[in-house]
Amino acid sequence: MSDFTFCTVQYDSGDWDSAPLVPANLIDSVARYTSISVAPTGVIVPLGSAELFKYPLAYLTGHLPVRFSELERRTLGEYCGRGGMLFVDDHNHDIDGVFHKSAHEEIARAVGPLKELPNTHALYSSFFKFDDGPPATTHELNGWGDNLVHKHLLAVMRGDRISVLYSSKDYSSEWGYHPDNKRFLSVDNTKFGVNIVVYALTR
Amino acid sequence: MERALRALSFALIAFALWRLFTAAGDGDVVRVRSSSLARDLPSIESARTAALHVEMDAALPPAERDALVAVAHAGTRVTWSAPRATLSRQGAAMPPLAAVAERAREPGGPVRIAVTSAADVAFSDGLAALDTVRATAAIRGATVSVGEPSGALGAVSGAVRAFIRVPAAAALHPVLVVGRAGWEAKFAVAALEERGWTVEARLFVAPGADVTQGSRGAIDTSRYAVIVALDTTLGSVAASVVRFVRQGGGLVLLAGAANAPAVRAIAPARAGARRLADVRAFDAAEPVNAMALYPLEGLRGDAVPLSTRGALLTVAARREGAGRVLQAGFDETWRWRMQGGADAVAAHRAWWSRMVASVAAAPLPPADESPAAEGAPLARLVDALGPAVAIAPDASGPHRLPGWLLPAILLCLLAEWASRRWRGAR
Repeated sequence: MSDFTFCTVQYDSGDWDSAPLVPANLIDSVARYTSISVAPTGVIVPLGSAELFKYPLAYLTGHLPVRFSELERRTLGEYCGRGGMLFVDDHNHDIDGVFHKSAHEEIARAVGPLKELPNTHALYSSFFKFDDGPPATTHELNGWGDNLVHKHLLAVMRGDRISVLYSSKDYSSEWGYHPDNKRFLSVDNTKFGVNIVVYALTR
Repeated sequence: MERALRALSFALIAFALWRLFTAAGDGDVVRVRSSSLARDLPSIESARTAALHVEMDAALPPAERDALVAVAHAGTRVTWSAPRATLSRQGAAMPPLAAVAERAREPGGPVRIAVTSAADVAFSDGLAALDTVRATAAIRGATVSVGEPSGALGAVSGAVRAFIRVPAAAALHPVLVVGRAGWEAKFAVAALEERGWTVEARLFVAPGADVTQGSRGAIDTSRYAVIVALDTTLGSVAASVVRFVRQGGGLVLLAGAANAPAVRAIAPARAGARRLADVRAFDAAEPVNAMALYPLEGLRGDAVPLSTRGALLTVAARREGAGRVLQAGFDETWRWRMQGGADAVAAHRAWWSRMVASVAAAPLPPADESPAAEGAPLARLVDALGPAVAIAPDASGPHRLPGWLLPAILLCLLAEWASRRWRGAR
């Protein structure tokens, strides 16, 4: 039985390591709510590396402009073509931001154009139920960034499966705290992260 | 001399007339060649022929063979023979061709043709040539796989043409995948769906929380063709799986799934302790040998070992009631798809589809009633008309005179006329 290992993608440009607490927090949530065998620590894998193919779910975030090298682009296309799933979160929560624009371009070049993911998609019911689609973050509700509550996530689909899941909601900030601090929250805001992991492991 | 020649001429003419009017009479054997049988059949059928002998210088089409059977049923004794060379094993003009087709039990699966012949065999459908088998292979018996044929599927060997009946594609029920949520589940479901299978899944995520794909109906052969158990977590399926197999369903036990209490009684073997492969690089070894393995141990007496890795048994199968159980000890097959070579995705899909197809419950396809379908023409000929008889071939046909008769008459008349002219008489 394979352990699920949380994988953060390291890319040459930008600040790939801008959310260092997210992996531990999501690993804690997966272990807390499910019986999935999860590795206690995550891994960091270069996007252009063959190591990436050992981890069929990978997480990519940052604030700065993203420019993939030719090797990174080719590896990402191959990774998604074989069934891997990349979760990209804009740490700026800003659709006019440089990460958003450049990441869109790079994803389109490597995998395909991003499109709105319907809020009825299986992702929102794979474990916990999110009847209204992706949960809003405190940054959106406080009007930071582009002062928008983004109603949908975006995705590149391969058949009926998600190859790239793209969020402008800044879950990287929302989930970027030590897992022990969950006890101070009335509602655990990482539950949607569990849905992403369970979806990736079952679809 | 002239009188003798004249008398001989009259005698020969009388003989010819007698042959013409009595050739079809009782007790005479009409001999025809199979290559001209279509032309001769109307006169054969209208004449009162007591016996008919067919020399097979070319393959007999089914319609003409059936016509001969009808003639035989009408009271004519019908026999046939073939020149020795046409029945010999090597270089046969009319080799004992036999071909039968079966369809793989997987969506869009190939049509497999088992063939034997004493000469080269060429396969074709209504559109084009499909494949060939050399005589050296066909003599021992060979199998070829072709895609979905367009129109009639035929095989030609020497002068023999066989029309092969292709079974209709069976309607396959969905596959049910059960086990723990994980990469193996994700990629097994994906591989089967990408090969055209309809897949339902019940994957354990947490107590009381399964991820379900498809319905949660009863487990029986009217709903599912195969159950794939990825590990020992069978969940709600456990109570029904043995009955399902005994009713005719298929069961694939992957990795350590055979040790699940619910299937231990019907598994081909126990799953031993997990071992890593000696070579874990998929591009450096046969892909299935780069996977981790739960070796099969304690093989049951009625199980059939199918594959090994060194001294370790990797795959085995057995029948249970009306169904079949396949146990494959491989673990983490998803790594093959993600980390294998350029063709790994397609190969992984095909491997999974073959495993499932090998045990899938499939209803019998409707029988093909096409009268033209005939995979073994020579065998059908022997069945219809009996074995070949040893009769010296004669080129004569019905109502025909011996070839020497007309020249002989003309020669006699010419000699008689020349003799008279020689002595000056008119």
